[in-house]
Amino acid sequence: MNMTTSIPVLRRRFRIRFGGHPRVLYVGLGITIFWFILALGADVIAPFDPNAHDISNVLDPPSFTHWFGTDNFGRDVLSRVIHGTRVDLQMGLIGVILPFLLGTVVGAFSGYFGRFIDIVLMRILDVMLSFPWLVLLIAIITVLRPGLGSFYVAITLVGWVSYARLVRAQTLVLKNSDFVHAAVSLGYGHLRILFRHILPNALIPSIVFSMSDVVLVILAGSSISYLGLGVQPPTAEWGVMIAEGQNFIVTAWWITAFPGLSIVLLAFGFSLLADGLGEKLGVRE
Amino acid sequence: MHRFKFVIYRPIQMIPVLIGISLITFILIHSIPGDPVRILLGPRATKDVIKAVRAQYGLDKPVYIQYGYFLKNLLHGDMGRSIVFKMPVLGLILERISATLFLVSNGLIYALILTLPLAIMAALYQGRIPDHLIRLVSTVGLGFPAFWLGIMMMMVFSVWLGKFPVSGYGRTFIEHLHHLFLPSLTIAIALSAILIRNLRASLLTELDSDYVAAVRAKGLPESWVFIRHVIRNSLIPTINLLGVNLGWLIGGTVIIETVFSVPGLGSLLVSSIFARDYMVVMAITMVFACAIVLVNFTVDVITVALDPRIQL
Amino acid sequence: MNAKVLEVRDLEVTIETPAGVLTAIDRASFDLRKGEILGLVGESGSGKTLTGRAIMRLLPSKKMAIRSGTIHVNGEDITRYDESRMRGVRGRIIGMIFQNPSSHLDPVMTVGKQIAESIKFHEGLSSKASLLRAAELLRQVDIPDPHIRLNSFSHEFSGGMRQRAMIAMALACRPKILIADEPTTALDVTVQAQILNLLLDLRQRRGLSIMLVTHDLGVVAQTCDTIAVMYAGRLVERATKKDLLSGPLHPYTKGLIASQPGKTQPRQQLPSISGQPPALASFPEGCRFHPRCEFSEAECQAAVPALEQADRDHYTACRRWHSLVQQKVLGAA
Repeated sequence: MNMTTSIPVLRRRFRIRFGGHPRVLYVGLGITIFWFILALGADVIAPFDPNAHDISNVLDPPSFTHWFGTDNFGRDVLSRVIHGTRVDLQMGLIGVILPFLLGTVVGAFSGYFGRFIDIVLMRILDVMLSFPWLVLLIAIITVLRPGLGSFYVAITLVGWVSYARLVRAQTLVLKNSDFVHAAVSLGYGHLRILFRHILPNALIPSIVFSMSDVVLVILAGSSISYLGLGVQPPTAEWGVMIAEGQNFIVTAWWITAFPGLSIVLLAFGFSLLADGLGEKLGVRE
Repeated sequence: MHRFKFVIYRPIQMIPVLIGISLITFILIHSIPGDPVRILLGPRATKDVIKAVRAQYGLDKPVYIQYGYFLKNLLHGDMGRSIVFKMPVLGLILERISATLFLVSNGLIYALILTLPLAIMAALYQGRIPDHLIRLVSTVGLGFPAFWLGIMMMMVFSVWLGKFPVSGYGRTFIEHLHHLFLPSLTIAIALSAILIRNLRASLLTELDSDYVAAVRAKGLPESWVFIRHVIRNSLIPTINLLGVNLGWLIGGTVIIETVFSVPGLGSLLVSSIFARDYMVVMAITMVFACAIVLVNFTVDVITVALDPRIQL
Repeated sequence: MNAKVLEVRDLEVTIETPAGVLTAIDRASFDLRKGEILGLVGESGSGKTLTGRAIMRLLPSKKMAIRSGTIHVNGEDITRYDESRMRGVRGRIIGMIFQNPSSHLDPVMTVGKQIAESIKFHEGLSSKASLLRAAELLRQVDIPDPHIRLNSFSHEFSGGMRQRAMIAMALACRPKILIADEPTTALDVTVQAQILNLLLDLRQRRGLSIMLVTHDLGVVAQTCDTIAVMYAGRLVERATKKDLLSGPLHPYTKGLIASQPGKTQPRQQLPSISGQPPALASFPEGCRFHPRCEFSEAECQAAVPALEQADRDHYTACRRWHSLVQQKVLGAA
């Protein structure tokens, strides 16, 4: 007599979790580490010099010598993709660390000291959040002249906002917690309390967010480079490669396909890392 | 009805934000290296014109007064002149805005068509294969660069299959739909990746909640529960998310328009950068920002309409 | 004696856990007669709430199931019903109200519509007609200005009003049986009394039979005709209210009654039953209460005590009840 199947669930009070998804975290970690290895060992791993022209082998389809084919200058696409890992990974990391630092400091001060600083900050946040992210990046880069350095400046000026918001929210909550009151009553100075007591706890949502932020930054960076405003050719960067290859899309699809797939795979790795870390640390989107 | 009072107050609250936007735009313009006159007029300009422009923009006055001139001109609809097109920027924007609007709305509609069924399916089949597949695909989708996706779609559908035009906008409404199908679809896919995850989570939360249990206890079937209770409650956070991501969406049109050569504001933005047509760049930036403020307002109105608990 | 509207016999509910399949409700048997209010009493974790849900066949988790036993409603065993027949039972024959009325009402739908929807579905009435019935129901549960209140949302109601609205919702299609799962626990004391009086009133007016699940003996003392006491998934005693409260025949019941505030003299310590109820995975052998029972002997651990009839309409699962009555420890004081 099977009475289990068609009975609907009234309220899942007893849901038993199968330990979350540690697999997610590990797969993400695995993919990310793979890319790191590729980036660090690019010189050794890449079969060809990414910038070496070879006119006799222009626009070759994927083959045993050139796994990903060659582009219009005869450059080996695989080697360019591998070297491009360095640039894109660097973009992702620096493009997150700088806003993280700036945003954390501003958010922490604003949340902790409050009042005037806080009001001003919130107004700035409101205004900045009204600008479409990408468009503001582009506008700033326009002013600074296109290039990777401008990209870093622009992303810092635009990206700090998210971190400031997160850290501020956490600081506001933690400001009133017991251990802070205890520290205050022990006579610790404000800065010490802020940096040694509050901040380590306040940073957790930011850290989880930063993983998915890496994805956004890499996408932004490659988009900007695709548009010609970031990394400049002939440097091997995935966005640049896609732009260069777009002209040959009809005859040589591999020039655009492989760099793009690389972006997707790198982003996927970090996304899984973000999801896995988020679940482990109990932070939700 | 008193919940909608904020509709009256909000525009007043929006003014400081709008001023802030104009201020940032002004700072950006002011930061452009080089002679402001050259920036406004280009390398070739006669002395008289230069003099007139100096007067109109107060270029020889202190910065804050220049901002005043900037605002004044703005309110008169003067956003400068395009060096490339040799016409007022405002006129240029009005010409090209329709393509962008079409693209964005089309993209949104396709996104909804993609998101709703997939999220619902993932929620209803939770833990089983369809759910895992949908979640996997949407996670991978998060990492797709919009420009690359566009190019790949162009490659497959326009070049190989020849079904859709590679670029442009067309002249009639039907032609618009045809030309913009691929770019809109690209936007839709990118947007859906985010929305599906969120809507699915929302649906699952609602399906698990106490009031749903109470409805089941009344003997109502699952379909009734789902359609009349769960969906409405789940949409509220998702619409909020949509509003947040609209900013991203607008930024994305810049890329997509460039990839597909759609004659809208986005492609104009990019081409103007390379042509050093600065006023156009700044004007479009400002227009986008104001659009977002408006969109956020609309999202708030919709949220209040859907959720009777909210008091804004 | 009135006819039985609900007969539960040897109900067993199991739950799959990493530690294996455990029995959450172990052969519970009781009856509910027409027009009667039965109180199902126990601490949290005793299985009393689960019993109510099992009767509705709405168990909280897919890992739970009714393994055996019968539940006869008006003569028919509903454990054999498939889901679509069960839906005909829910709302129409058995209604249910819950502990926390705030979370059990849809926040974005008007209260009127929520009451009306079961009428609309089960009886096929139009929206307008079902809303009119809903207004009448609101009036019957003593909510003022019912026609205006139809268009209110739950967050605009007070806690007591929400519970009344839930009662109206549950009774919309005129079920003959109402399962009330801790209906007053989340409410203020004054409101509690109002709701309980409302339930008594409805019993009178509609000939409703109510199964009231609660941990509060005070509630039970005010409203119930019969009481069944549950401990660790088993029914340990069953009797009329008068007999049970004045002469309990189980040490657990006795302990529960003694720990009620009100019977203690001022400045005396409130007596409590030492220890904690056992966890699901570690139920003691034999009588599940024996580790905490001051009267337990070897025989209490040896075998599972069944419900014995000690008197007319008084059943107990204490194997030593007879000798304990002779020692004047149990039974009427």
